[in-house]
Amino acid sequence: MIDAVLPHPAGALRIVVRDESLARRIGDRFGALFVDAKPDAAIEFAVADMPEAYWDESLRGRLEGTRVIAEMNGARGEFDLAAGAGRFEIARHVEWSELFLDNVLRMVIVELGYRAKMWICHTAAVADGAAAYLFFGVSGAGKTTVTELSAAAGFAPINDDLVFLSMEGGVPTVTGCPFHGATRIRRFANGKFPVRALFALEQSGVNEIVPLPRPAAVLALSRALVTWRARSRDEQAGALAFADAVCAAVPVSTLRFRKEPAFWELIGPKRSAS
Amino acid sequence: MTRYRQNREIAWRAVEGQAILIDTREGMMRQLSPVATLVWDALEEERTVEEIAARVAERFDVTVERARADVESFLPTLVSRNLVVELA
Repeated sequence: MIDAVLPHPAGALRIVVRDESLARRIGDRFGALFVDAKPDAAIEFAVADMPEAYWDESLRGRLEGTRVIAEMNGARGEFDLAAGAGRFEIARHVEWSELFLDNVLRMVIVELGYRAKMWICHTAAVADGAAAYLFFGVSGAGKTTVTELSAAAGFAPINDDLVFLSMEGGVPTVTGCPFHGATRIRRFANGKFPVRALFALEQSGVNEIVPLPRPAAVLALSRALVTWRARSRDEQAGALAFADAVCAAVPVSTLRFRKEPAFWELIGPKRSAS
Repeated sequence: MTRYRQNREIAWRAVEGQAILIDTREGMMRQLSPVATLVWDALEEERTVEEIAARVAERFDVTVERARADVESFLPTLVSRNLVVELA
């Protein structure tokens, strides 16, 4: 059994898993992230027989009012954002079934963040101790590569795939999240970091930084503000306004880079450690 | 005379004179040129081709005939992509 607290940018989530097999796999996946903290929300996971279930990575579900409803073929249940409580069933006997639980947590934590005015952003982020640099782009653009090269060069990795972005006192601010990409890194920087610069990644034979005109920057960052569900017109307008505010506050450039850490010589921050 | 207006499902924002559009049904994003942005902006209310062309001509210092030709070539693209609604 697991009864533990998972921190996330908008609070702390109590996770209860009663099934031993699922609990063991969840422990392997999130154990290092659990903390001794008072939770402000709770989710219970149970297993159930779902004969038709198979592994499917899609985050299927919907938001109905304050209810996050999972409708995946191997995960079902709901979480009430207002009450801060929910229960889900995960398919028994499906290989990788713990990833259904991972997907349920993504849906819930993204919505908890959104309610706290934090946008989930498909980007890598590293810190030089005082500030953060974000590197966004589609899958395969090099987010994990940049993260690992930066970590090897002494920067603190925040995440190689997903972070939360918010505006705090007019300053774009990044916070890590419990879900990462394909990186082998397992220790990420905690806390909030003011964003110093954003880069749209392009792998190239040369290292080069090309400033992006503001409209192109807003478009690129808006594309990185991902979601697991359809957004309303007002929410999309909010995403555009947020991206515009971020791009007004910090420089956004295209970073063409080779797969070696010399691209940092163009960016030029201090390193936190070596 | 046919009138046009923006599809109300589209979220958008003008950034430095260029509109960025998000189609909330597909999540598709587009960035419009300054001229297209002027057309788009005009279509916040129902307009005819002539009304839009007059705005473009005034803003970009071209003849109304030239502006009308540009608008007539551009509007069908917006309509076919369901960004703009054609009204009877």
